[in-house]
Amino acid sequence: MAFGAFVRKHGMFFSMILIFIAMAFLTHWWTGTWAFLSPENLSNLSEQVTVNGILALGMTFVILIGGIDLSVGSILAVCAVVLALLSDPTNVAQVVPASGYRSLLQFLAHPFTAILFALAAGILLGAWNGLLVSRGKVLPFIVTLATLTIGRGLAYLASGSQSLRVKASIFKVLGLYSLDRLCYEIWYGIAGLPREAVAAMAKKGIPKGDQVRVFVESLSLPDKLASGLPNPGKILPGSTFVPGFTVVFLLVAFLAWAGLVLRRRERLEKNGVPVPPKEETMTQLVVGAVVFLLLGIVFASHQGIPIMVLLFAALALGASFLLNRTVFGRHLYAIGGNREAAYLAGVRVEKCTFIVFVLMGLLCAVSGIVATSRAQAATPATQGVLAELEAIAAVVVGGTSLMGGVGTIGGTIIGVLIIGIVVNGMILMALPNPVQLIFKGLLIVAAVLIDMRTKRRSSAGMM
Amino acid sequence: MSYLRFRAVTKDFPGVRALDGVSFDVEKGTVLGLCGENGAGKSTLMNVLAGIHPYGTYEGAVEIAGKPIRFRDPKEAEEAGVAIIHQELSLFPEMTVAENILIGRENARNGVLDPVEVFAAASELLERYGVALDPAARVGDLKLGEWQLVEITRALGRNADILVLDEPTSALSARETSTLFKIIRGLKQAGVTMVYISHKIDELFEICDRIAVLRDGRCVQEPTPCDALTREGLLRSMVGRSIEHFIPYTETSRGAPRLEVREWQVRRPLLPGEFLVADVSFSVHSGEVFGIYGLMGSGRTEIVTSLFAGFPPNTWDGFLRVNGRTVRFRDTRDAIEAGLMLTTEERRRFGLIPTLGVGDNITLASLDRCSDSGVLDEKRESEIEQFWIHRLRIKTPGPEEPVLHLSGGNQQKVIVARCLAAEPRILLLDEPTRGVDVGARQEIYTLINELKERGMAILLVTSDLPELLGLCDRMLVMHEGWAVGLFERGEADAETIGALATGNV
Ligand SMILES: Nc1ncnc2c1ncn2[C@@H]1O[C@H](COP(=O)(O)OP(=O)(O)OP(=O)(O)O)[C@@H](O)[C@H]1O
Ligand SMILES: [Mg+2]
Repeated sequence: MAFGAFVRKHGMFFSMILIFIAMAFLTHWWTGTWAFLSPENLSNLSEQVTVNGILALGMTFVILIGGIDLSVGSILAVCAVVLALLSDPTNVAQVVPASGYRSLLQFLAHPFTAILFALAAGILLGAWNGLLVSRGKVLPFIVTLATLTIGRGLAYLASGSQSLRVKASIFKVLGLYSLDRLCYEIWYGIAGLPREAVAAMAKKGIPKGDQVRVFVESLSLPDKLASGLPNPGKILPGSTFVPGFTVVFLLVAFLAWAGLVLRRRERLEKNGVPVPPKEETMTQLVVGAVVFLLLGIVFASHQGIPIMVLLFAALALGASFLLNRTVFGRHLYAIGGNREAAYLAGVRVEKCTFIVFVLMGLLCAVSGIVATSRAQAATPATQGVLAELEAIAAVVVGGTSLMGGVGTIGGTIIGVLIIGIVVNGMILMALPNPVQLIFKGLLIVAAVLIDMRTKRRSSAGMM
Repeated sequence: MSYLRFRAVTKDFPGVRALDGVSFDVEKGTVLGLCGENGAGKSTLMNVLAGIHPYGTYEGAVEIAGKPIRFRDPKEAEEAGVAIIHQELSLFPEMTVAENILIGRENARNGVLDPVEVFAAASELLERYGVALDPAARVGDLKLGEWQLVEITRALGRNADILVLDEPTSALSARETSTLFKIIRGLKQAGVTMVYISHKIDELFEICDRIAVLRDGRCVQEPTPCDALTREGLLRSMVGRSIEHFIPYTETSRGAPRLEVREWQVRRPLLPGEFLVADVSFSVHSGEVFGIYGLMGSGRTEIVTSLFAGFPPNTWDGFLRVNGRTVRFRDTRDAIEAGLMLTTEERRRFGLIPTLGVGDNITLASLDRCSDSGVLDEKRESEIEQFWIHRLRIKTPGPEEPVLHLSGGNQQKVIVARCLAAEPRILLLDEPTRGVDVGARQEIYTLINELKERGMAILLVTSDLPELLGLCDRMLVMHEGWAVGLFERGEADAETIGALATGNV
């Protein structure tokens, strides 16, 4: 009974679960394996959705105020290129002809300045969009369509149209590491390696500075990183990789979440604010526990939570907080719902619009940094191409209204996951790209239709 | 012979029973007045009749000329001869007056519209009903009262047998109202059956043959001839207890000037030469209610909206002092920070945020007070919401309810609550009681008096003469953008003010 109501209230979430199950069977029927459900694939899926997910967070804000941003893919590419260029003096040398300018850039080149400049580039392009939309009163569609081509041009220019590799370790951490790998490295870095291991590695000629990394990599199962090692496999017989940090982290996260839910309920109840029935909260907690448990199983049986997924989760939490619990967020809903009325109620519409586009730019930069770290390279020609459509699709599938005023971060995350699941499944089935594109489009239509249908039934109002 | 019959009509919304077995008859060629508190179910009943709530979504039956109706949508109702003037105006702001009037019944040849024909047909209708509006004007540029005239013309143009008028005069001033009444009498002669909904009791007695009362979705008074009714009796059956029908007024001493306006001008945005408000000067003191009265087009709304920086800065000019300090607001936020707050006349267009709930709509302008450094405090927010929902008797299942599910008058109360919750020092009220029922109106009047006693400066724009004379300490009369008279309370009577406002001096 309570569960039924819960399912209806969170229809989107349960549709996602259905799509997930369907995809598992579909891929099994097609390929004959359960590869879709393997922890490795699911971990991979979580990384695949991160880049789009971060963009979709920003896009939720933009669409919520009744706007649209078509330039996110290009801004992402610009930031990625700026990052790659400045991350390494050799990249500068590769792109910029010898001059005082080159020396300056080479002087600046460092992974951290690269990150700073990439973020700044995102903010700047976002501010450009924001200024034209809020002050210039140009339609967001037009402004960002222009930035779409401008940005792509800038990305080509700044990279000399070539793909640039990033080599610094921070990008490895961000793009390839899991929580456990990072924690183990820190742990062994501080506590020191076992003596036998040092000896074993010295024998193989591994320099001292790399020993911790190589050792920790060797702890884990062989994977893309380990296979690039001089001698993949275990360095110490019997040393295994226990993803304890992930387990502990997820446990703490679950307890914190459950505690928050309960405390909030209690606080509301005490102050006479109407709360949902007790069974509903219980169901919510049980479903949450199951989700955390499954996440734990998946991540722990692979390599632990990827760092970029943690980053995405943190950003999503921040975005959700901003929307639900701050004056700024409420103002965004008001602007999207009725711009004139919001203005007359004292909402600074122009300022909020500007900030939203700047935030979008910033998130494009973060997304670009993550994408570059994951690929270990920035590619001006392909990076972020069609990313705007994917982000918009995720937001819309997640129930945000393109008219503005209605939408949630939770919905967007579900939208991102639904699209991610389908794309991942299609890749597993090795469908040709054109077929994938067609299915993706159909998926968007289906999701939005279903969503509108369920909403209409529940409101039972006019029309 | 009863032409239109409602038989045990029941309509449920999630959490609310809006209509509960309503039955009554309306005779052919008569005007039935329908009244009741906000949320009593008047509009819902008419929406059932007009096919807006399609057949099957309600129980009971509606019969026209003995035949039960089964409308699936408004179009079918219209084809069957039912036209409705909606309470919440349903026009297309981007279209012209002519296009709006003819929407849905354009005379297209092979699907091709002839704009000249549309224009001519609309002009003809406007002329026939004595409405002085430019058929080529964009509706979005018109004022609320003019929207209402377009809406009325559109419904009249349908040549309906049954015409529903859901608070048609809520934004009209005396002159347009009497024109409308003339039209209604003409239609009655022609045999049109009408249902007239209003919260203005005087209007009901003037134009209706019989009056029926709804309360909480039930018909508590069958259609009764006007002669058999008294004002007090009507009020009693509306609210279910006897209430006094007078406008409360508290004597206060006038304090320091709070809002001083000098040589205030507002230009028409598109025609820079034309003035909507010309060189108006006045001041509002702490502890007084300052009324502005005027007919449609007198510039009354433009004054308050521009004082609040609700228009683009290049359209208004003049000197403004708030609490003795000269100010120039860049946007509404500046005005709010200086202590001003405005309720707008057009709740749908400039007031409500339809996507937010009732509670969020109420607190929208006072979020600063229920947050710490930008982070919302749900407890304080819900306190404010609960307080105002009770104080103004906003009829809603809860603060989460989508605001558009509320009845028109209750939506209006939400807007007033938002404005008062912001606790301004200078309150600008533009027709705050539009569409609000007698009981809640009394409550709003009491509140205005209380706020005045606490030293607030209140600027009240109204087109309701009793409200002006009863509530205000001083009153300014406007005519076509000019200030034509300033009176202390008791200095002028309704006739003088009415004559000044119409320009008949
Ligand atoms: N679409 C809807 N969804 C949910 N509830 C609704 C809807 N429309 C109306 N109601 C509810 O039905 C009741 C009757 O509303 P209705 O609009 O008929 O009142 P009314 O008599 O016209 O009031 P007013 O004088 O304020 O116009 C109200 O309690 C309202 O909240
Ligand atoms: Mg109504």
